This record gives sequence, structure tokens and C-alpha cells, in this order.
Amino acid sequence: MHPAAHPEEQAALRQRQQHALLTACIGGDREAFRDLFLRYQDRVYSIALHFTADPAAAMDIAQDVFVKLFSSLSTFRYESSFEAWLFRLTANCCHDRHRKQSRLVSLEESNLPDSGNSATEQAERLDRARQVQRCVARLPVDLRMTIILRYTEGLSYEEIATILACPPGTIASRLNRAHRELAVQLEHLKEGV
Amino acid sequence: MPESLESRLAGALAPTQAPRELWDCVSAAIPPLAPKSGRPRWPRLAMAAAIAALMTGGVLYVRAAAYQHESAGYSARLTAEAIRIHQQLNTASDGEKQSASAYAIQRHILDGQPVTILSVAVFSAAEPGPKQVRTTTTGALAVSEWNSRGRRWAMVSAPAAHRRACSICHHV
Repeated sequence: MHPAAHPEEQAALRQRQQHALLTACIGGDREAFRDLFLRYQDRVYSIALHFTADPAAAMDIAQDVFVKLFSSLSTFRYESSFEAWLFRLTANCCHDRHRKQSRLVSLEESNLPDSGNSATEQAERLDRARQVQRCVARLPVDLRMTIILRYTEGLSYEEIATILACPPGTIASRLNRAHRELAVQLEHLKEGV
Repeated sequence: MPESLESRLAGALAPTQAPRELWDCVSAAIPPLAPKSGRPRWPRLAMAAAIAALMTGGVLYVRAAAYQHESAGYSARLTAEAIRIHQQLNTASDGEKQSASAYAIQRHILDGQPVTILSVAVFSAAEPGPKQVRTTTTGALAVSEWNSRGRRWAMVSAPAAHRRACSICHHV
């Protein structure tokens, strides 16, 4: 990309590149699919990880997302952004997983690992972050996904509303409720900061 | 200064790096990417599973089953391939007692939904009992348990934990 290009031109170029990549994927180009995977793997995995608080479950979800993405990519109609479409798929896989959990027996204690005794400030920060992650993972499903899309992806209310197929007002309400619940649960951390 | 809830959330929920083996899991699970070839991926998976079973030693019994699949033809081709592998490996085997079976299963058998077969499972008949580990090349690991209401499947873990836990798959 030319360094002096205007932001609008850069955005248009990125869009053309993405369109070409998606077209190649739909045409069965394995390398193109790998490129697409590499672009989005961290984002998909992060959403799944924060939703489940379980790295193993996040791997399963991320795998499902990309397998479904591969088989359904030809149905993408460019009516919304590709990211919104992909994140909707990710949210659906997370919800599917959550529903399935009620029918399955967990045989592992596979939540986020504890940091153990944290002697350093960095370890304490990490420990606090894990406490926050655990509290988020205990939120009701709808609130949890909204919070994750807001803070992991940094999406606007409108973007989250598009992904979760509900009005922006609902998103605002969910964020408000989630913030209130988290504020109560994380009250004890205030002293440690 | 106290940290705000928003900044705490932003820090704790920041994006993280996906494990490096994720692509291996995805690429093993996706069907053949060249639709024109018309060649399904399952023979390779079945062969990998059969080889893994063979490495555990002994006579190999290969059975193929496709559950609730929308395409009966797919199941028939899979069975034919499994029988062929069965014959090849039986000829090569030394007649030990241990046996293993390769099963074509649905990745989403737990859902009871008709979906494309994406994986082949290997499990050892040398480990009978109330629990039976079913390993798949896509990395999912399921354990069946018998209880008063019959068999129940429990998903245990994702690929990394699966490889650590599964002695058969460890060899693949």
C-alpha cells in the first residue's frame, strides 16, 4: 500500500483485497483459506476464550467456527461486513457450546489456570485480570457475549447489534446490566489497585 | 488512582493469541478444498486411523459406520474403503490379540444432526469397560459412559489435551 494514500483509498484497497481473498476461498483455494484463517484466528479464539474461560473449549469453538466458515462461505452475500458475519458465526458457536454443556458431563477442571503465589506486581495484575475474566465468564450468556464484543473487539453498540441481531437499545441495556453485575462482583478488587 | 471498571475490562478481555496448533485442527477437519476433484477426505483419515490402530499392535478390525448421514452413498463408499484397509492391514498383521477399530463418525454426533462426516475415530477394543475413549483426528475427544439410562457421551477436551490424554492418538 502506498504510504501517502488517503485513508479512504486505503480502506477501499483493503476491501478489494478482502473481496479477492473471499472469492479465492469460495473457489476452493486452500492457501487463500489459510490466509483468511491467519487473519482472524486470534480474534475468533479470543472471543471464544473469554466466553468460556477455558482454553480447551475455546480451541473447540474456534475449530468449529472455521470449519463452518469454510462450508458456508459461499452463502456470504456482502450484505453486512465480513467481520460482522464471522463474529455472528462465532457468537452462535459459543451459544451452541453453552447449550450443549447442559447435556454433557465435564470431566476436566479446565478453567483458566491459577497464577499461584504472585510475588511481583505483574503477577498480581495477571491475577486480577483472571478474576475479571472469571467474573465475565459467569455472566448470563447474552450479557457475556455483549461485553466480550465490546471489550475484546472494541465494537460500537450498532456493530454489536448487527452481530447479535437485536436493536442497539438492547445492547445498551445489556452493557448497563453487565457493568452493574461486574461492579458488584469486582468490588473487592478496588482496594488492590 | 483507582482503575475504572471499563479499563479493567478492556485489559482483562484484550485479544489473545490463538494456539499454533489451531490450524492443524481446522485443516484436518475441513473437507477437500478442491470441489472439482470430487474426492472426499475420509480415505486419508480412515487410513491414518487404521495406521494408528496398527501401531498399537496386532490384528486390526476395521469397521466403518456413518451415523444419520444424509448421503447413503457416502456411507457406502466409506464402508468399502474401510473394508479395503481392513484387508490390507490384516494381511500385514501378526495376529496379536489386541484389536482396534476405525470408525467414521460425525463430528457432531452429539447433536444428532445430519452433518458431513469430518473425522475418523480410533478406539481400542483392548480398553473395554464402562468408559471408552473415542478419539478423532479433528482433535475432539469424547468418552462414553454407561449409566442406568444407557450410554452417555461426554466431550472432554480440545486437541492439545486430547493428544496428552490419548495413548493411541499420541502415535499419529
